[in-house]
Amino acid sequence: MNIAGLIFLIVTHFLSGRGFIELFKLKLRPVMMFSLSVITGIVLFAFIPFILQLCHVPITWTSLMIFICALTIALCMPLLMNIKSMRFNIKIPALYEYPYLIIFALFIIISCWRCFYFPPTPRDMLSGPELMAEYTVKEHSMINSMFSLDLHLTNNYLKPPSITSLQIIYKIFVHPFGQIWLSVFFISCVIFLYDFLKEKLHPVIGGFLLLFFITIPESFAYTFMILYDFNNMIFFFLGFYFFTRYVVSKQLNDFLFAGFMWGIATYFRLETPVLLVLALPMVIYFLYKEKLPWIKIGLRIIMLMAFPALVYILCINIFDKHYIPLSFNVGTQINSNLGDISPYFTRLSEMNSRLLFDSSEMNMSVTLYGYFIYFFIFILIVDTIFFRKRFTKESAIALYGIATVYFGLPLLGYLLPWVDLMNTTKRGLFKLFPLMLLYYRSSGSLTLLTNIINNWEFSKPKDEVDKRMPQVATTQSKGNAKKK
Amino acid sequence: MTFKKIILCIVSIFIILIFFKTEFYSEWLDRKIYPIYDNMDQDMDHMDLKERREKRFGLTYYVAEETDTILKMQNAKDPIILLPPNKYIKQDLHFMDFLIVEPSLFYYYVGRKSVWATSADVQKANWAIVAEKTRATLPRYNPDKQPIFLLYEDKNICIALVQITSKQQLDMILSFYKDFNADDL
Repeated sequence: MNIAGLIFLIVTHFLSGRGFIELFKLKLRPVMMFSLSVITGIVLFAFIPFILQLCHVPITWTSLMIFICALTIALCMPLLMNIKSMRFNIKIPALYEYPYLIIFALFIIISCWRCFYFPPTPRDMLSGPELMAEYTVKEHSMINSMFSLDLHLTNNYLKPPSITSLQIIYKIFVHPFGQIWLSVFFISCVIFLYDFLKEKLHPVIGGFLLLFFITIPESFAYTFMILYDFNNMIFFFLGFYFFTRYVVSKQLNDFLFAGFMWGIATYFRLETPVLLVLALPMVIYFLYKEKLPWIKIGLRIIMLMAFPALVYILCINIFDKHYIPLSFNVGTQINSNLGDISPYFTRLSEMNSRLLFDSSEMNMSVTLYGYFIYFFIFILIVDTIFFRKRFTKESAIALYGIATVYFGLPLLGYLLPWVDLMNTTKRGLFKLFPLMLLYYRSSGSLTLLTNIINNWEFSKPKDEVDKRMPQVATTQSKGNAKKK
Repeated sequence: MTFKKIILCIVSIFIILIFFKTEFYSEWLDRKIYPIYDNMDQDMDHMDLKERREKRFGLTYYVAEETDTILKMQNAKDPIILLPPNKYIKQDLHFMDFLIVEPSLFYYYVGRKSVWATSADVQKANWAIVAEKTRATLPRYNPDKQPIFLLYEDKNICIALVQITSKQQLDMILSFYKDFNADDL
């Protein structure tokens, strides 16, 4: 493994991602900013070989190096101009966070080792994106000798070029199996999600929730097996997260970044726009509540959907249609009998009975997803019964997002017959999990528990209580107190 | 304050222990996670890329590698290899451990072009990977008495590489496969 190449890529991921975020002037906690910068840098790099191919530039070590350096330097400019405003005050974790951090580290080691040691495995990768990446490295073009093969049993070469591009970069700079970008991505996600939960919940609760999330058996497997769903899940969730920030802050930059994240989610799974269309009523509702004129609402919607639409057009209408040497018609992939809606309800029913709430001996729901979904339902019931008044805009958006996935996946199965139950839908349900974390952050029961722990943890002997209490009344006020 | 942090630390440890003591997560650790840790030392002794691919892809990759080695030794020019149908291996030979991959995966493994019996350009095949229960029946693929290159053999299966020198030979091999759907992955 080329360690220098890996360090070079991680540093350039961070710098370019941080510079890109600076363009949006997003205000985030330092740890979230650091991890989101790396995540953003990774996806920005996922466009490099693709753009080189679209421009008919040979994909070589030299061309990639020039492009990576140019992109990083260009995106660093706004960062350098605001260097004085940057702060790096990262707090050392409290003693009680270490048990969780050690466990997370152990799971990360396992994931990284598997990712590094074995070559890519899923057949969907090997017969398409991975094959394309392997021969791009040898022949310097994504349109290479793989298209001289008998490909009548696969259409995986039509998948979006996001993973292909990352594989090409990591094969050339780091390791012949590529794939290590997934470990960098996974580590960044764990760091981001931990700080994201800590922002509103006590670390003992946040740590437990993240442990619950990491140990979802099926999704953990995709932290070391490259496929599109893990990445799609994270970016789909980040879109919702930045939209919740927009609803609270009313900052247009948060809104645009949500659109960017949903565009990236589309770059990993091209059917994501169907789910985004289902999310639009929620977006329109919140824009309407802002009392914006309808023209402005329309413009905002266009701004939000512009990047996902652009990504879709680049991948399907330009790359697949004009670059891939085999003919492909998207229309043939769509259900020809849309008048019959019974397949939708059949799929919805199967999704419940065979995946989410399987009561057979195999108990697929627990085997695949552990008890994560059941725990969410438990918390939701508790919140609905006892803490209805504590429902916030964030919890409403998270629940809407969960409903979008729940009702949207069967819709995909109905629209696109190749979206099967035991592969595409099974992995598509991953998108529920980080949205559930988003809900937990503002769950009435968990925030109350957080307040109780905080009050106990920071309470002082009686004579000091009066001075101390206002700072620890809620997590939010605690954060504000620190800023002061 | 430190005392309270210690208590919260004990609570965190307690939560983690209870979580992994539940039947499902304890089993999951035993079946999926500990074996990775246990195998790490052993894995570190086998860092060669080829060994790692063989471990991952199994007998299929081994056969592809052996095929490539033989074709190199024979200086085969533009070889196109006919692959047997999976159904033939499973239904006729009752052998489950050898999965015939599709041509794109064969190309990924070793960079050699291959075809299936149902491929449009099957007539271009000039080599064939063949499988039989024992070595004794292999010559049926090779009426022209060309050498047969053994790729793999155990008590259940014998896999070999033969050169196709005539259209009659190719048609004869294809006739063996006519009852098995080659498109079945």
